[in-house]
Amino acid sequence: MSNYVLPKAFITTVVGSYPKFPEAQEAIEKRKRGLISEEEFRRICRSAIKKVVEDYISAGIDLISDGEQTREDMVVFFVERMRGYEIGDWVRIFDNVYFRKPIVVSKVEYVGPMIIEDWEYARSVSDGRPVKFIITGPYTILDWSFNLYYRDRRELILDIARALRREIEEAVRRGARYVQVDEPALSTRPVREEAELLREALEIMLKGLDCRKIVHICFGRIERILPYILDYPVDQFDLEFKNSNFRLLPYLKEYSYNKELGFGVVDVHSLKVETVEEIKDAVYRLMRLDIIGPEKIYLDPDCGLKRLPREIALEKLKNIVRAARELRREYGYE
Amino acid sequence: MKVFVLGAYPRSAKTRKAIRDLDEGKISIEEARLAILEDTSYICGIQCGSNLSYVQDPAIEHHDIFRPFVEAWRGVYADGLLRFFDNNFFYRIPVFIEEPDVQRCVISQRVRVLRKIAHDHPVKISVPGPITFTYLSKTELDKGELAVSISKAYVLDSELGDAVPDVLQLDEPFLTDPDATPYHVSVLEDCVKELKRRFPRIIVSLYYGVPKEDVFKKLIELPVEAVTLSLVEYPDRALELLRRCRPEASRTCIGVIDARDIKVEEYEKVKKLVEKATDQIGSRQLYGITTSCGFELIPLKYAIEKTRVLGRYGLRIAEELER
Ligand SMILES: [Zn+2]
Repeated sequence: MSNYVLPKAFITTVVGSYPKFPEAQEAIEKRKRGLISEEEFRRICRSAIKKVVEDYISAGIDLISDGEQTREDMVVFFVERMRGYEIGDWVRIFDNVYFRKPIVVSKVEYVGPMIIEDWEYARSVSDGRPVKFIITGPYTILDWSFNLYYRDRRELILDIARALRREIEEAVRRGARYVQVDEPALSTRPVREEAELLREALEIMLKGLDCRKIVHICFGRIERILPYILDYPVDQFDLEFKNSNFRLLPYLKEYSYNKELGFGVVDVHSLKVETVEEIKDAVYRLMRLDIIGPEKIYLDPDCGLKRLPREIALEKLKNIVRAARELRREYGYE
Repeated sequence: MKVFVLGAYPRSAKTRKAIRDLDEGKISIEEARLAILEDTSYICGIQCGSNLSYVQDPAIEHHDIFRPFVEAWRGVYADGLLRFFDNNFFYRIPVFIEEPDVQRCVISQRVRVLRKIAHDHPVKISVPGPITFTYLSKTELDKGELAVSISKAYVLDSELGDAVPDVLQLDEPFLTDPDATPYHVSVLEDCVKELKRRFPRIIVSLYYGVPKEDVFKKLIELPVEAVTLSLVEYPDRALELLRRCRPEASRTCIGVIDARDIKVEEYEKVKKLVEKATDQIGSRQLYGITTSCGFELIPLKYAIEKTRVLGRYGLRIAEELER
């Protein structure tokens, strides 16, 4: 491994997913139909992961991911690989599009590595760039499944957290330095009780681990949940800003935000590629609040890039990198 | 005490496939309609057989609560996807460029179908409440005026199609949002005035959350048959709201069966919830019991099971309240 040195300020990163390469999509389908083994599946997906990493490197992203090429979905992927779940019946997501909503039918337990292999493979081809270890969080797994076993949601989320902890612990043991927990469901129910539930789970998952801890939350009413999560045991929140037109910014000031911030500066739901100037303007707005310095600001997209065409995703990343370089110069870091 | 389901039902596997096939041009619209009609008949049959007070329109064909109207009206179109409240479900944002102009009937068409299936059972049609419709849409128009014009469009739909449901339900989940204020209820009041010209019995349904006290107080003064309030998601908060709003809250219908979960509630648990509510608003004052929301987000077999459970529990609870 060569030793890639992260910039001192405005580190560029990604939230996680990248447009699926056709071989990965095909492998997911084949595995679902039982046409290939798990080993075969992983082997095919490696070429997709390699291409993702190459795109990130060509764009110049500092802190990368494996692009989540093996994950058909944020929740089903994990619960299929843990004990306690059954893949349920079809439930609508939008229009006439459905997903098989998992059901908890017995005690949730860890079985064995789920995403470690993908992460390790990405790291082996990353030319020394650190790869974030990105895992769907217990609140989102809880919320996007049915439960027929536990009497109490709290017991369930804590068992999910214990299972995920085993996976994270193993990743950290193998050298993961950045661990990100994705919790898109949290912003949908922005009330104190729900935030407290996740806090307890995060403590189980992350306590005592020697790594940078990140929670990603996107869309919904983040400003409402913000006051309840600021003292979570994490180093960084990675948040969506651009899609909601930076509505969240004044609230950072209001709640005296002082952790590291993953600052979502490009919209993953829009095909329009944000210009370098637009991205820099967003950062100036954040800097004007005078709450955190450039060392604590990570620039990235609002959320995973999986729904964008690859060319557009790549262009967006390139502009983030260009903006970050100019900003470093302007703020005296280069 | 009334007993009824609050909202729409999920599609059967056959209908999902029929709609997919229709989209891919493999079958005709008539064939797809037949599958939808089969689901509708089956679900209405279950509701009748479960002794429910109203037959709720299962709204099988709609992709989200707004879409049938967006497609049947001029002046509005469906745009990108947005999360529908706290669900892992997304609706297409209606964009109003001008006030809605009814091109096709939705409400009266549904009433006609349900009348044929449900015979003399009272028929309930739920439509997006004008406030929720307006505030979940994008528009440059004045929102208050838009809400009233949506109500007028509902009236026109019913007049053009010459059919009136026994109960028109206005789905207003937006009013449980912390952003909702008494102002929104005052706009709804204007809407209700319009709607009353055509629809004699109106229910306002609140779901997914618990409204703020000032919003709920104003809601229960509206000249409508009932207001529904879900006790499922945040029971303590909902019960406290009833306590603070009595005795006017007596026209409240409470949601006691979780329509977003597949676990079947035990009878004792439901009964206890009803008792806690009647402790607040006086026993025998309760308008009725219902589900926490529509059944759309659980698989059909569980929706059917929960419909039957609601009917059974409803009968027992009514008997016990009598005593
Ligand atoms: Zn996200």
